[in-house]
Amino acid sequence: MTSDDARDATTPMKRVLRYSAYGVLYVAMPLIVLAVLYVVDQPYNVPSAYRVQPTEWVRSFSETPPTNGWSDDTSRWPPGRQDGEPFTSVWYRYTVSERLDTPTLYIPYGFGNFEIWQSGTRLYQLAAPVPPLAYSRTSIAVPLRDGDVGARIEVRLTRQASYSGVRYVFVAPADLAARDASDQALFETQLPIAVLVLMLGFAAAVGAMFALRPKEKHYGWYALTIGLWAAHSIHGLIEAIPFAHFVWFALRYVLLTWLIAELFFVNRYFGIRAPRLEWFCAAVNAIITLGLIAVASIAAASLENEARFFASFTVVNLWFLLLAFIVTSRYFIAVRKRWDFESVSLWLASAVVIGIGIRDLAYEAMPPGTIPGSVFYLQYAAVVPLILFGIQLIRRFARDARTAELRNEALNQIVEERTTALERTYQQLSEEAQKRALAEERSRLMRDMHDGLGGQLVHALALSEQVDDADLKRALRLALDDLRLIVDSLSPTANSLQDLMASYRHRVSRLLQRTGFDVNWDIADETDSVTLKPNEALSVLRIVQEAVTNAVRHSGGDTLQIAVARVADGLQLTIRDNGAGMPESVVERGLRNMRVRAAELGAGLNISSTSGDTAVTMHLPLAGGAPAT
Amino acid sequence: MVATTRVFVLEDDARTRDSLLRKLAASASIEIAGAAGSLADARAALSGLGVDAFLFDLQLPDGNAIDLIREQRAERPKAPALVISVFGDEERVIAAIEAGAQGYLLKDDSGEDLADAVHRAIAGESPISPAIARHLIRRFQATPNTTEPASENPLSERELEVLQLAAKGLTYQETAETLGVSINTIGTYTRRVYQKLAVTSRAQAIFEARQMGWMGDDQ
Repeated sequence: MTSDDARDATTPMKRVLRYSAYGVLYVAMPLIVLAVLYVVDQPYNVPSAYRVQPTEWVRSFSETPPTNGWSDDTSRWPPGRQDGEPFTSVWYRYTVSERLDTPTLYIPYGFGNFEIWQSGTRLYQLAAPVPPLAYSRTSIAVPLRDGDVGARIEVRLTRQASYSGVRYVFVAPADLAARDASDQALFETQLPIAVLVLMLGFAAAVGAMFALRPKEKHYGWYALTIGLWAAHSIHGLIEAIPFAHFVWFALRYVLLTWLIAELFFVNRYFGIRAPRLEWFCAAVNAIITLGLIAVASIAAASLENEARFFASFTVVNLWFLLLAFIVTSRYFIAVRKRWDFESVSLWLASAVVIGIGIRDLAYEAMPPGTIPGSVFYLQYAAVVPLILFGIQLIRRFARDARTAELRNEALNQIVEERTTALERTYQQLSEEAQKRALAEERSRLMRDMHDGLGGQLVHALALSEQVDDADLKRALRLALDDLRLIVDSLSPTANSLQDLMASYRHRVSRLLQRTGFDVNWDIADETDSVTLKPNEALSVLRIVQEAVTNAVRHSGGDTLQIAVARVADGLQLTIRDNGAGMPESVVERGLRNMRVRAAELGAGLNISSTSGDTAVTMHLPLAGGAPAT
Repeated sequence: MVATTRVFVLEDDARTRDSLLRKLAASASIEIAGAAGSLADARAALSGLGVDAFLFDLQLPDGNAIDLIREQRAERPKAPALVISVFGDEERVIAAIEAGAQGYLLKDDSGEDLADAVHRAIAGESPISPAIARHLIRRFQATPNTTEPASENPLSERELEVLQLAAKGLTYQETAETLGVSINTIGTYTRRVYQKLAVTSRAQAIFEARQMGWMGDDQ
């Protein structure tokens, strides 16, 4: 059955059936548990045949078994502490009725301060009867000196409470007593310590979770609830009470009233909003707390007041019962809302707790033997739902933490990606800025050359015409030509090698024509896709210019070929003439100049000079290899 | 024998101006109409002066000659304006051509070259460098793509061919040989190209110049 099914069952008949099923389940669960307990729970390991009843008693503060004043009226417990007495002190006398091999006096559930005497000798004493008295719940097993039939045993009970009864006393074989004592120790001491540690562990863990996430209020309420339970459970482990016993009781009950924290917790855990109910319960609790404190302070005045004090506990117990049902109703709301394993199991566990609570109350209130067993179970049962909650809280916390971690990781990844993107953008921007700065700088240089250097060279050239110095004029013209090459190589509009060669061709065509050379230009169209950096462009142009100048000046030929071709892995430049070949000195000098420039380019240079065919060939490898087009 | 051509020279550098005037004067067909070293002087000297051709240096102490070119093109439409430049391919030369200049001369050209260029300009020819040709090709090829309705005169196929060959650095002679036409025809083609450029709107010129980064301002 799912929650959808539960909601769909809307007809009155179906609703009645559904709630009846809930009710049966709710009642059945504790009944089953109690039935199991009824069957398996034995009162003690010691058969009731070994149980002994006191034959006489005497109220006395004597340090040794009194010699007179004994009463044989065993139809009722002797009166307890009277006004003016510091505590209850009663001597009981038991008689051995059966011959045993290892006769042992065994008191399985000692609730007070016991002394055991036989034949004028003290066999056992928990503590000296000096207030505040010991509050022992441990079992006492004392081997007897005299196990003969008719042998007498004196047991002194001293207590702060006015109640003077001792329910169970056995004279039994040692092994049976020992076995039962160990069971009692398990249930009354060892298990409570284990549960206490468990509860403190959960209180600490969830308390820490609350400290980490103060917004999750239910963590705090849970830690408070289980912490209070832990604190309350300590009372079963304490041997000596540091206060008057009614103060001790009052403290325990005040502590218990604050288990209202569990209501606050459960409401928040299941997301149930019930502020008015919470205020009501808190107010009732406050009244009960104040009342307990007031009554406890009055109780000290007289034994009558003390009796009234304990009678008022009935009201408090009823309140606890009501509170338990209110909390259980929260579970039921959760079950209706969610109908999942968690809510149902918690709800049924709460039913079991209430069932066991009723059993424990009955066990204490009814005559011995009416309810089987020898142990109060509520202290364990009440912890079960809390531990279930605790496990669930820790799981949720761990899951949330994991989710948060995953989200964090995802977030980190996004941040990393964004950072990388940002860095990339920044880099691109700075590259752009660099390019722009470079372009601006270049155009500034160009302007300077145009307006400044160029004009000055022309001016100087005009001057040289007046002084008629041919060498000066030639030098200036060379300078101007070189400047033009530089300008060409830096031109923002000449993007390709073809553009560069076009400018060069345009510049020198008329000059070459005048020299009488037949110039054969052969610039491959593929060079349109070859772009060179300004420094590379300048080197190429200078090499070409040098080769052309050499050919024109020194070859003595009449045909000049200027070719640029695309080859497999780069470019091939060839300047070839049909002259007589260059003088060795020129070849050397030209080679040197051109080599230096070719080396800067990473190009291979070859000059072959034979009569009738002189060729300067440069091979310029290109990074891109063969062009894409 | 044709009548001498009256040439006006605007050049701020005195030595260079003298050199130019000397070279021009050496040609029998050239007569110096006047010369100036600044825009103001030029405007003063030009009033009422008979001029057949102009040689303009662009960068002058009191400003750029482009406005003066525009003025003189309006005032004396028959007198071609030539820009005198050290390099011939600078952005200012192109801006001047857009303003109506018909070509450029190099400052260190020989006397024959200068006189020749002046006569050719008067005859309608326009000297063209590869850089200018490249610019013109881009200008006219870009036209259909722009939102400007401007150029109703896109280049003819032949005109484009002439520009493309010029962009490869071929001379008029070589271009004429390549296309199998006379050198005069090439001159006609280039003149038409210049005219078409002149009628394109000034707004587009500015737009294009910006695109090319020739305006020197931020983009």
